[in-house]
Amino acid sequence: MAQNKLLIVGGGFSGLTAAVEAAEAGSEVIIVEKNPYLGGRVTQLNKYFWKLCPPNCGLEIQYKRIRNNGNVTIYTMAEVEKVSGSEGNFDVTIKIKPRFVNDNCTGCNKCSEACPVERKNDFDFGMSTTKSAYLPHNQAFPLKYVIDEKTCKGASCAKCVEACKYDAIHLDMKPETVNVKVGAVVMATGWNPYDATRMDNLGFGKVQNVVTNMMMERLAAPNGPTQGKIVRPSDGKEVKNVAFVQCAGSRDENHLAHCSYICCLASIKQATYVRELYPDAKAKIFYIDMRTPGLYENRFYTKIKEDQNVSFLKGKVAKIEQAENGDVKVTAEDIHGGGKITETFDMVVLAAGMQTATESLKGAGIAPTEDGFVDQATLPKGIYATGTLKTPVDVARSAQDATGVVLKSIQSLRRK
Amino acid sequence: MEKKFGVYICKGCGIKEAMDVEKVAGAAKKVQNYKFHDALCSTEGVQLIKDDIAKEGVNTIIIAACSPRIKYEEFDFPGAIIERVNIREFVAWTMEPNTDATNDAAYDYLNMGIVKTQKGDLPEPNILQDLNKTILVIGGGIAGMTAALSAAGAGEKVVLVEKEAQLGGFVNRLYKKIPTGSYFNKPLIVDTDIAKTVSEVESNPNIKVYKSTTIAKTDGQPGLYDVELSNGEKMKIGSIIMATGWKPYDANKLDYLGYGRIKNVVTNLELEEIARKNNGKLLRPSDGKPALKVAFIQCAGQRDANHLPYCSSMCCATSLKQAQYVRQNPDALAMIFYKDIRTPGRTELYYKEAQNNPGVMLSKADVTGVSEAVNGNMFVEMENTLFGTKTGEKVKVEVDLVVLATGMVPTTRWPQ
Repeated sequence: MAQNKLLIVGGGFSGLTAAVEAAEAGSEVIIVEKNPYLGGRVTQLNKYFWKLCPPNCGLEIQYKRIRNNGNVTIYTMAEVEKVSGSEGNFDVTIKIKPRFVNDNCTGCNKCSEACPVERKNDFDFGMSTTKSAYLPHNQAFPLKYVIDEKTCKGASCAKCVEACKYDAIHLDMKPETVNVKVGAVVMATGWNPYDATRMDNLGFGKVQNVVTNMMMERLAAPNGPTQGKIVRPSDGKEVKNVAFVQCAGSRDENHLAHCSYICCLASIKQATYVRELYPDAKAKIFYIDMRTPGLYENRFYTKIKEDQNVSFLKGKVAKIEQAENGDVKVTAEDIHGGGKITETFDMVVLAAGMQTATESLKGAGIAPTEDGFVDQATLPKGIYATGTLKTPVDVARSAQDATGVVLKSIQSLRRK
Repeated sequence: MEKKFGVYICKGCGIKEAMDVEKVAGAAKKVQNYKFHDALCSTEGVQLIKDDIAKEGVNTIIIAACSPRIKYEEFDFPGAIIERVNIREFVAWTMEPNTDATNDAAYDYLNMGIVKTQKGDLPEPNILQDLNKTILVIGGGIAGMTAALSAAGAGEKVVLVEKEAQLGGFVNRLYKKIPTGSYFNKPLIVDTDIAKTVSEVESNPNIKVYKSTTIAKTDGQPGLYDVELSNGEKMKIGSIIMATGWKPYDANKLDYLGYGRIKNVVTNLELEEIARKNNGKLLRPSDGKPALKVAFIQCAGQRDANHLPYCSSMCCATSLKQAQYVRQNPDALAMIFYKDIRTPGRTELYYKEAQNNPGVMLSKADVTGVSEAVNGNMFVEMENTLFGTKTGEKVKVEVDLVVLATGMVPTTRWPQ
């Protein structure tokens, strides 16, 4: 008899969608998420393109669907270590890292107030700090604090343990292993931003005020390091003249050969952040092709072109250097005008691409293709890939794909 | 049900420090039974409520504590009316402590929660009699067939209705398709295998197929649709999937590009039919000679305020595929004139294959018109190209076949 249980690896938007769709169709679902919270990359975004609405409300709807459905079990800070068996009957080993905080946590923040250690906040790409006892972000779900194992001083300090009135903190928590039996597995491990320091000519990490598109999301977010005020990291100056460098790593055989799909629309969206915040600000987008396929997507592009303060230049950026006073000098080819142009900006945003999070596939015994993705046709029966694992897609397409993949995985559960 | 109220007010997480909980509890006087606890979500706190349910028969529970986003598992009492009143995040954590306004706000929230439970009842599940679970799929193209096969594979009964005499939709008209997944070590054009999918659908015992049939009428509601087919047959249906697809944009509206005026100007769909009919040979409509110099005009009637304002997403990849048809003849040349090449995601690698093909030429260009040359040939007129011309300078290229990359119009918008 096949197990009516589905394992979903990854609790980002694809995984969440798969989980609620499957649970509402009557299957039992287990979500394994490596972060201490659900929602994945989407939790770091300020707004969605093209609607320009905040992603939190869509996430909250998904969380609510999970809360109202008894069929979903969530393991955070967890990774799949091993998958064996076959369609209908997989044995899965899940490894759970210690959170050092149990279910008694009420989210009251007293541990964080008492904690003497600061750590760099990876949620904000290092642009802010948190205590070692921290909530990953203010909309985190499950709303439960975490102790950062790397920076916590441990039992010798234990100020958080004293501060907690609810016996929620146990610094001696050990990693746990859980074994489950499932009928099918959906891989939804998503993507990581491409490491921008690898593009020497674009200056990231060396030239001040060169940031990535994901950092720009945090800078623009009300719950980000600057409470949504977009300012230069080096001196806090308001940015009035911003360059967006498309295909930073994408469409480049030395980096990512594929097109990351989301970056054109993301840069247009981020240009609206700057324009909305500073009415006199200017934005310039350097591109190879503007890729805004579809109905609403193309309308979004058409609309921003009406803004006199946003300009587009077809040409690849060759070099980014430090100018005076923290400014940034950009040299690019100008395909239409011919030759090179050099211009100086307050800040430069690199539209860094999507790299498949293939390291999380190892536990399931899945090897990526030569171009770094996962092909459904190569997977064993009963194991499915969804979302950005297969090709770069946006949130809407991830949700569509996850819904379709759930119907496929339900067939694995119901096949006799 | 006879309501027996229980109001439970939590004093933890800073609530009692921020307000006068006795005053707040005044709102509960009308239902009399109210209790305080220092940490209501603790085992003892939850037990307090459970004991009241067991011993006192409490069945209407108002919990004045934290946000319903958390502790939803602890505060789950099956069969009871449960109302969560958020006096922690909404009041204690966000308002000035111990002012009249703060006490009043908490009082009012509690009052509202109580009144809501007084006025409301547990929802009675509205389970209709004789619910039908059959899924009706309208449209037997690739989308409709995939939906039908997936639903049938999950054990559901499906009715598939197609207006044409055979299943398969537009894919029937294609010569070849682009392979899915990785393009490494693969032929760049492959058979569509549509006949295989059609036979899977037609032989599936869970799918009933109606061809040359349309929907005459639908009525009713989810789970209870009454559907009448054009053949007069009536049936009960549970849910309906619309998969009626698209129609090509009417190329007769593109006479500036020569369509309808010049014989050797065809649409991308007509090129598929030419290739399919002649086993891959691209023979010109005017004289049946093999085309040796084929121009593809992208965005024909698209991204154009006078025609379709949107991008149809598929035409760039389609023209790149059709360029491979052209290149089956090693003496033939394909030229693609585009606004932007839009090959998002892994399709970029497919684009790369065309760029590396010596017989495929690609240029950005604004095509302004197509005119007749001698011997059935044509001039494609354009400006703003990448041929080293100056901005605005016009260029003419002579070709022997012109393919218009026309777009998709959803059937819901038909007639255009």
